[in-house]
Amino acid sequence: MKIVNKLSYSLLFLSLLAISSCSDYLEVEPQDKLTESQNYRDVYDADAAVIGVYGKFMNLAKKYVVLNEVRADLISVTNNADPNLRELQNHEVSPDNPYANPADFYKVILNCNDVLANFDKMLADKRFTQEEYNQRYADIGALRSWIYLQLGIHYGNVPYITDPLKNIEDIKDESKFIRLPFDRLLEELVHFTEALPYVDPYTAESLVINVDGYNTAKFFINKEFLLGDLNLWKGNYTQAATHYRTVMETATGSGNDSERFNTYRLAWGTDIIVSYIRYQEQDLESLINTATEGWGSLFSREMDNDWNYEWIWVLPFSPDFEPENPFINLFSMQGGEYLLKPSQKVIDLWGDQTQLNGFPYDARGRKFSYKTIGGQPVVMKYLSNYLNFETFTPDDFFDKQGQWFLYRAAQLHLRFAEAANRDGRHRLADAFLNNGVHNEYDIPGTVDVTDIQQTHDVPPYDFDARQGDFPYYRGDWYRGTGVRGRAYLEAAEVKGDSTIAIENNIIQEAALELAFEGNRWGDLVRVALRRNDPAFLADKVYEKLQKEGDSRASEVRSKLMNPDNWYLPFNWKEEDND
Amino acid sequence: MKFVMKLFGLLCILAVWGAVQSCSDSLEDHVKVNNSNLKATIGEKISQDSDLSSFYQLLQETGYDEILNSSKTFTIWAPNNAAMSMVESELLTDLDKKIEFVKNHITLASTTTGSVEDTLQVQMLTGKYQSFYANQKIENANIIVVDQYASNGIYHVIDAPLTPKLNLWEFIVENTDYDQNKFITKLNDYDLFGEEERFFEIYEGMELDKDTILNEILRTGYYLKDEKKKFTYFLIQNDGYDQEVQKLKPYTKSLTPNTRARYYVSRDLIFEGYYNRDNLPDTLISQFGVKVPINTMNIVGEPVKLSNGIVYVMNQVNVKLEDKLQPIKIEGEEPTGFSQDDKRAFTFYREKTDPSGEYFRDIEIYGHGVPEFEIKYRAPQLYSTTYKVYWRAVNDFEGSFWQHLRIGGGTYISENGTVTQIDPIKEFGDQEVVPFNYDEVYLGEFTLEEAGDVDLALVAANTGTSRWNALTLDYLVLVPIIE
Repeated sequence: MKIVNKLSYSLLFLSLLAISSCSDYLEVEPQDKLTESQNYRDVYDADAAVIGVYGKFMNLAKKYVVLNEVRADLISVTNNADPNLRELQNHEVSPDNPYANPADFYKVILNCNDVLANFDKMLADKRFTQEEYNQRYADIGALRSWIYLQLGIHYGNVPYITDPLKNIEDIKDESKFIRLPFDRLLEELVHFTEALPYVDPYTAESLVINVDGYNTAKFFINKEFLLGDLNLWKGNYTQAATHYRTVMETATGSGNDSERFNTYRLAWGTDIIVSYIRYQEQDLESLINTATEGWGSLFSREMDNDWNYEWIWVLPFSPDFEPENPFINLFSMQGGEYLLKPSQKVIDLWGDQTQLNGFPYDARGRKFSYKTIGGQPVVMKYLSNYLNFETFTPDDFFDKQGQWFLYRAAQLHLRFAEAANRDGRHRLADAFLNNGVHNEYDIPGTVDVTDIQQTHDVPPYDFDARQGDFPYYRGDWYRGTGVRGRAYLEAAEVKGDSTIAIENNIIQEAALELAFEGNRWGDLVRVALRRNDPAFLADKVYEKLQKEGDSRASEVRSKLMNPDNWYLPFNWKEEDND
Repeated sequence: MKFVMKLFGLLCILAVWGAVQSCSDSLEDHVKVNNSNLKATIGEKISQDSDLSSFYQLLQETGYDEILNSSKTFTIWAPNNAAMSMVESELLTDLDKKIEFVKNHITLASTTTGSVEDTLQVQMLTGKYQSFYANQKIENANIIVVDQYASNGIYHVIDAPLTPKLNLWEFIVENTDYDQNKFITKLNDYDLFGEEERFFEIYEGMELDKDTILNEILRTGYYLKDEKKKFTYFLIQNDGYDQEVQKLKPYTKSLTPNTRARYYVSRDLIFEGYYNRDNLPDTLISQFGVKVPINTMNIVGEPVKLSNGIVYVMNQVNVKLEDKLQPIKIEGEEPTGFSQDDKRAFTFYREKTDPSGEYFRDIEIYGHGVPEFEIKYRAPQLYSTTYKVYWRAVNDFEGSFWQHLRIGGGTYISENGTVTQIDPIKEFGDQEVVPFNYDEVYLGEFTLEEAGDVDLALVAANTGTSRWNALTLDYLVLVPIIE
């Protein structure tokens, strides 16, 4: 008997050997994914489809950050970086560079198209209600528009496909799919997205749940924010401001005062501001800087109230589920390859600011956004869930938690300010950039604030930031600090023409506040296109390369003076790097 | 039963072998040794070379013939018989010396002549480094047969021995006829600054390397035993040395003025780096920032080459007193203590820029509520002389306030509670700190009768009111006056 057992083990062992040695027939039908025949029976299947799309979408996280930062001026490649990353930095991208392959974007887009078509069928067959349809259709439709916006930013002319395709390779057929110029693409996107049947956050209980310790409410794209972005790109400033304003007023009417006054308003009194211990502002060691307190805690804190005051769209990476967090490898020296680092340019930019206590630098820089570890600057925003706060080493090398940061309140305020500024609201734009509406429209020393501390303007520019005790007022915006106010900085000076100067200040502030979060290239392209001024973009990239001591800085600058060279080669390739 | 098991075992092995076979090429062709040189070890190869017979004999006497048959990787620079005949007999008088000699020809790594681009510092088994040059030389020896491969390394044949040289510390210990060297070695047993008791406490029960821990020259300065570094050492003959010591003696008034003066003279005669006679500059800056003029006319004889440096014997080295006695800067943000410890919340370490954009750090104490609150500082090991005192204290309040500086003195409470009041050496009067003055302010002079550590205190105005009792200090400067 025993012999027989052993014999069978041996045979098993042998057969394993035979398999592993020469063949690859381990492919099995997935147990945890749906096949087509099992799909779209009821609303729960629809939810699964939505979650599935977001799962695929997360594979774009690495590309999003790499393309938007390495091509721009706030991140530089390290000596460890491979030639593909260097090509992006030097703007000489070869057609077979995997970072430039659009296929990854289209895989998710086709997935969206497929899901949207199936939702239509489900609705026709009454497999779910109109309301259920609206929420899910709008979500996936908006997500697709967001991806197309990214495609437009990086490739300029792209095929705009909204039909389901069985085969991804069909896109290669250029006769079927004409590539739209960026501006036409924006028109299509505004048209499609504005027409979506539902623009609020999900109310569906089956989708807003707690899973693996995360609440899913902010996994999904904020459609109003996206509509603001699309209109801002298109130059529809009033519409853009209106959409942004809707997001800014998310908590208006809430019975909970903290929620009402703090949510998306950059309020004082929260744990997510740059601050020093009271009355010890002159002591650099009194800067509030822990994993749960201070501006830096935005990137490390749990999904608590303060987190909710700022974050609008975030997707978490966890060691418990796929895909793996790509940012540890990009940014960390420990557990990663340290391929990317803060550019000298952004380090200097933070160093040029002055805090309200006279300290000659922006604390968001060296104290929070990056740290010098072993003599090298390291991007910290993506590592604060991974590295220990004191030792800067991982407590657990394999616990690669992290987040993909997509939308947050400071970004919202800066975009709103950008739209308002172009819509002739210089003072309001400046208020959001610097110290908030309350301070900007205040007359210090006035007791009766009935007629001050507010904008007296038409929507979407009508803000009430009154704080008075006789008579009593607490306007929705009374706690708003402005982006620089929250960072404990002196106001940015307006030099020369207001529209241009304030816009310059806003874009610079976006660098200081949102550095490394994947906004920079878009900001540069958008403003350079708007002004028809390629130098706006080319000069900034030039300064970065020059500060890194790159001899090609001038060459790259002259290349970027031609907007055609801003875009990546649209070269379809079968394999990708994810 | 057992037989069956064995059979299965065999089958398994065969199967694995079969699996490997089926998917991979035979490795044999790739790894087969074709070079017959590589069949013999280095020891064997040397034993067969008749021109290396003297060196091989030494290897046998020291047991290194066996070691060189082991499976480590060695490179040997083997002196030929002619070279061995040049070795001074006193270097090979006993077994220890012989081993030291042999070890200085061997390194643990394969070092071919092709691996040198310009100069390679090779660490021998003695721990000492030898320069291996691209033009097929090592130190002074020519390599006459290069890159002889064996199974466990390489050897080269050289035409001169690699005699182990002394390092700087060994040189000092071996040459105590010079007062300078004698003094340095004596510091092993002498507690110049009265601080060595604590080392005995820290290292209690452990074996103390006296040289390293108890010698003030090594402890406060370069570690002269370091074989990886190169030092240039100036050794003054006794008269010239005494001349320098006497010159400094008026400024080292204390219980042991001579010893102090000797310490200050000696520590500024050691420099990091290897300066050949040809590239010897006319002035060197010591590790303590002192300018030391080097007059090549004063060099006596040929320099002595060491394993980690070079020694020049000098009849004199004339360091100017004004270069020796340098201004002392004490940073405000680096206090040694406070008159009471409970005021951290009112103590601000600041980072600022001055109007010219120059970055600085300083300290400010505000709102503490204690009349005559003190920030304490220590100026380490001052010379006995008169000092001019300056401060830079930046006041960014609305108006002036007053603070003053005390040199020496203070209140000390011993463990059993006895309070000792020490008279200050000098107490400067209250000094107005004018708003936004970024210049250095001259406070006055004080005279130090005895060389050594001096405690200082920055004292707040005698009031509890925050507006008037603030303290601020960027730095203090003490400028010694040369009489």
